[in-house]
Amino acid sequence: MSDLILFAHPTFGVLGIMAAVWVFVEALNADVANRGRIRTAAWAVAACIVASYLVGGYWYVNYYYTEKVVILKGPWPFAHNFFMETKEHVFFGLLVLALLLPIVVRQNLAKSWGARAVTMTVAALVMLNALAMEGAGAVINHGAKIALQLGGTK
Amino acid sequence: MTTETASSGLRVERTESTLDRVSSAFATSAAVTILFNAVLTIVKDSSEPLTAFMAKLTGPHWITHGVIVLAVFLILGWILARSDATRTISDTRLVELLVASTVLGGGVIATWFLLV
Repeated sequence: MSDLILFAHPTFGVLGIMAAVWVFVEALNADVANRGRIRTAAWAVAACIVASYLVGGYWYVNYYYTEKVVILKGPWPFAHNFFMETKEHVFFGLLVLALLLPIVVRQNLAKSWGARAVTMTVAALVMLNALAMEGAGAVINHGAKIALQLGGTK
Repeated sequence: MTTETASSGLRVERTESTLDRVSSAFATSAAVTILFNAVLTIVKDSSEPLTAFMAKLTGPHWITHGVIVLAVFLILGWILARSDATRTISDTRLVELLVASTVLGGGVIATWFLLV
């Protein structure tokens, strides 16, 4: 169950990134015809990032402690001290940006330069932020892996 | 709505806002909340009593942190949407605010945990 939850976290993150790319491209070509798709994509971003937050947060609270102990005893303690600590706090900014998207795309992006610019900017920030989260998660995972491979000793 | 533009070299700035009141309010709130999140992270990490208090509220302090950040975003956005405070912020300025706050917020948090 723990593994299932752990895999779901980055999966929702990647789906959120893909949805953000979708928003960006649709907003770049904003028109009357794609207004519905822009809103669908924006809600998809919000839903995926929130889902990633909930499953990741649940795993973090219930299962991460034992992994943290292993990482700190291994050769990559920075995987927790820097990468996890940064990731778990920067993520809140990503969450706020993802929740902002469905609010901004309520407007007709084809008629509002501001709404289109903010939408594309926020979508790009979500993409970049979420990619950084994925990378940090990979380092954290590797920190646990090599610690276990080396028997958890320095 | 006609939007005035001002050119300076290669940069074109839209001097008015074409965003509606709610969008500009929550976009502004997002920028402020991201910076608030960075400040709260540092203050919480520096203060064991605060960390303990936040842990007492919901269990893990990280959950309390998330609840506070989301509450700030929603409440501040709601307050700003009820006034015209953000209508004077141009579209270009709002985009710049969002980018700057995201970069600064993330950079400050990363720098803090790099140095601590």
